[in-house]
Amino acid sequence: MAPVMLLACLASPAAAAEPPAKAVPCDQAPGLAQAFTGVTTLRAAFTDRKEIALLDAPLVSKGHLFYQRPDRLHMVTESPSRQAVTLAGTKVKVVQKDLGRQQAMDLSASDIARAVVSNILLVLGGRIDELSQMYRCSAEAEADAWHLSLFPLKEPMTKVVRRMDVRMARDGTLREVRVEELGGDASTMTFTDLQANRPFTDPEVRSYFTP
Amino acid sequence: MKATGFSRGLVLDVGIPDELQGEAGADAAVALMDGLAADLKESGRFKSLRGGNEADVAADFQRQYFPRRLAFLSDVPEKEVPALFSPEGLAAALARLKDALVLPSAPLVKKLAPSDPLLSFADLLQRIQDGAAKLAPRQHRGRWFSADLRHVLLMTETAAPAFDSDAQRAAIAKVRERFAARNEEAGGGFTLAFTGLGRFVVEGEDRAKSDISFASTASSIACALLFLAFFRRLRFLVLAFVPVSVAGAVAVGVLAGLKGSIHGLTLGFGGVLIGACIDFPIHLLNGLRAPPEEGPEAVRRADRAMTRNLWSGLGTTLAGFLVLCFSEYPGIREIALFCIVGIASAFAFTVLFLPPLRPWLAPRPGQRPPPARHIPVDRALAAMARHRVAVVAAMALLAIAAAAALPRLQLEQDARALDAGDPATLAEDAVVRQHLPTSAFPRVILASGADLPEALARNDEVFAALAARKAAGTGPDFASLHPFLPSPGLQQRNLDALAALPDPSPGVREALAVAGFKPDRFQPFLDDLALARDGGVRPLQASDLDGTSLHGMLEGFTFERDGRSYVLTLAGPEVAPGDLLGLQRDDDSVLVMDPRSLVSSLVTSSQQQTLWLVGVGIAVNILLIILIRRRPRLALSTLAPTLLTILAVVGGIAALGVRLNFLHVVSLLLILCMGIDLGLFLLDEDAGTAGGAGAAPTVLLSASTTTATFGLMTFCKTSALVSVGWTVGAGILVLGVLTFAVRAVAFGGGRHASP
Repeated sequence: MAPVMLLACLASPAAAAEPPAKAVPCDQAPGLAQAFTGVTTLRAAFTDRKEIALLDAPLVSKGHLFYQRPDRLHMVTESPSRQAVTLAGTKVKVVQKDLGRQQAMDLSASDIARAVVSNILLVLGGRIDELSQMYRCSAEAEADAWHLSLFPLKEPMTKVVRRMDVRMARDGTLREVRVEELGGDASTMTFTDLQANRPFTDPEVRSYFTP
Repeated sequence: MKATGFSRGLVLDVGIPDELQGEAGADAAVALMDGLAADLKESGRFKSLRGGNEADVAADFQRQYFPRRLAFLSDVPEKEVPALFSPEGLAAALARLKDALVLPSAPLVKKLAPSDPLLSFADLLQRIQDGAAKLAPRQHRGRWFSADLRHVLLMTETAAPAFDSDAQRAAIAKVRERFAARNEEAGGGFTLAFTGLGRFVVEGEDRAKSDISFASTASSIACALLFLAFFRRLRFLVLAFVPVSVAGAVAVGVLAGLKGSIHGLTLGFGGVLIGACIDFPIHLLNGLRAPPEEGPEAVRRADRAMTRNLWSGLGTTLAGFLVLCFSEYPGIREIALFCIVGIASAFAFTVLFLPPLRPWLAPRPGQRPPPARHIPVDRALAAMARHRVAVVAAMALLAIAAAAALPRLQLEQDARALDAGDPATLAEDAVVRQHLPTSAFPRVILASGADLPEALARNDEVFAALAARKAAGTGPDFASLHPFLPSPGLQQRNLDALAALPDPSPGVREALAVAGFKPDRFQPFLDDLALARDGGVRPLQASDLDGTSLHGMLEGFTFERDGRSYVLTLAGPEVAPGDLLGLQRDDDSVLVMDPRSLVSSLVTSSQQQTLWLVGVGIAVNILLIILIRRRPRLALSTLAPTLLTILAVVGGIAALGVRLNFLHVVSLLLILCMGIDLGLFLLDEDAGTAGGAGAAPTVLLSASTTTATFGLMTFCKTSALVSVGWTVGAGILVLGVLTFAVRAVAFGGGRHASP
């Protein structure tokens, strides 16, 4: 219920934006879908840099990410504080170790909460079909990567996000995801030490993906 | 039950067919349920229909709670509010905010952060969400679903109360009809399950009506056949049934006049009283038709004995049932009154209207007189008389075996055992309940006060006690109204604690700056803080929620009775009685109860009292028989079969592992009354052809009609009536055999043997 309430307070229309001229629609980009779906598991270190108007300086967090197709994600933030977020389908668990707090919620209670929080799952899972429904998605081939530009088409994302830019290696592994919000805030998440398609052991599955 | 809505209507559960998996299945189920809900709303038979799609909830929460968020800061505001606004407290709160900004949900947090940097509104919503999640099913696509997302749920509240069976029947029919139509439209394959108090009420009533109809009809047919086989004259049948019909009509009329309504169980029980009431005309008619073969004096003596025995039978029977009128259990009192009125009416009609018909009933000149003896019965009596030792040994063995089984006797504690529902309905009920998260809270804690604010203040204390025990790992999980609506007094204490602080704005600005935030961005919070300190925030009252989508939550947890306001808390089974929690008060303003145990303890207590009353009834009957019989040997002979039968029946119930319920106990009283009657007639030395050994055929007929009528009750659907049927049917069978055995042992066999 809390996410529902919080998200109900987010309301302002999306600004119009245009994709780059050389871009093609994502579902027509040759090899893009195959590259996306070729990744079944992913382990990576990440650095997330958030530019937030409320803060004097960007908020930088670092940690590790574990992903298993189609909808399981475990993000461990190691600095500036220790936190872990587990997403499995529509279920979410947040453990804030330094604060001794734990919180579980079900995103299915709210379309907007599910759309916002599980946005990254769609990108990691390469769900071109769903992304194309929610965003105007265009893909541009760069030297050794794809650059995807996504502009929200409908609520609830139009109330939150102005655009998303995803940079992905030709092998389907993510390199960078940048989200620009309507209020001017932005976050850039870059990925390093990527290991794709290395299966998770049963203990890892239990440890990482049990919400 | 009130909080879960179970008592207020029906919970509808639509299962998704296996071929529709994932979101496609969920979407189809939502579409079907939305259509069904629209149909039901249009029917006008439903007061409310809730499927989880309460769009106004978010807006109403925002409107009612956000401006008051600073009144909800703490349950111990005098201590925690100053701590929260201390430099350390603010630093910790702002560190939490920063952590929240790192999470994927950061876009949501940022929207409210300028007005709520301490995350007090988010915490409040989280607390309410945690509480609501314990009572509400899983939400998916804006609707309520089962945890596995294979069933979509709709909570309905009927316009009529649950006990208005006609209205409930119509509402249920509408649900079935509209579901069938919507299922067909959706391609079929969906399943409907539903449960609710109303359904049980309707099915219970239907079952009782069916049982009453069956029991009365089958009993009448059985008695008529037995009667015709014995008297072989249709006029005797008519004369025997008229008193019984009068008894039924008068009993129904008197009870309806006194109480306005009669319980189905009473009617079911009373329907077979035919077996008891018919004894009066059986004995009298048998005496009236007897030829004066032994001279006028013998007839006069027989008439006197008949009158004495009929009055004695009436006296002992009424004494037994009169004792039951002192029962605390209204159902027992109703059955007792019904039986008293019915039996007294049957007796009155019999003794007033049948004797003048003697000339019509006696054999006409030239007509063969009725047999005054029954050869098989005489032979059986003679055989038992020849083997007195064996018969006595068998009776002693029976008594010892029954007494040995008595320690295993258990009282029934579950009220539902008296009228277990239809197995299919119970299975459906279990399926639906499985999809509701409320079954984990069997205990109820009631906090009460002269008005709702006072009851809420008591409820604050209950919450604090339960939360402390849960945090210490010694208490149960629970669902409380407190996070949703703390008492206005507690809210005011939060505001007072804020007002008591030295101006917190400079400290807040400094803490923001230290934490790396831009203090100017948080001016909305500082303005709201100043407003709260200046008395600009009014505590949330229950009346503020009237007419909003949040009112349902409040309604589920509160009620008024006898001028007091009550607030419910649901708790897990581990919760200790209130006095152990330190909650119980001398004024009973806080009560801990387990509704099921409460009902069971009431049932057990009632049964113990009823058992005690039956004991008194037995004692009264023993005294009456001693007074009537005067001679100890005769009195003992009259009582022995009955007392041994009661012992054997109770021992049998214990040996079979059946729990003794209050209807078993009432049945024992019936056996007592019937047994005394049989003893009075069969073991009478002065009754001539109409009594003593001469009464053997009518005693046999009387026992047969009673066994038949009560035996047929074992085919009823209502558990309680089946209990009575088995107990009385088997009891009278045993009683008949024992009465004849005692007759043979004590007074010898055959017609001419006299005591």
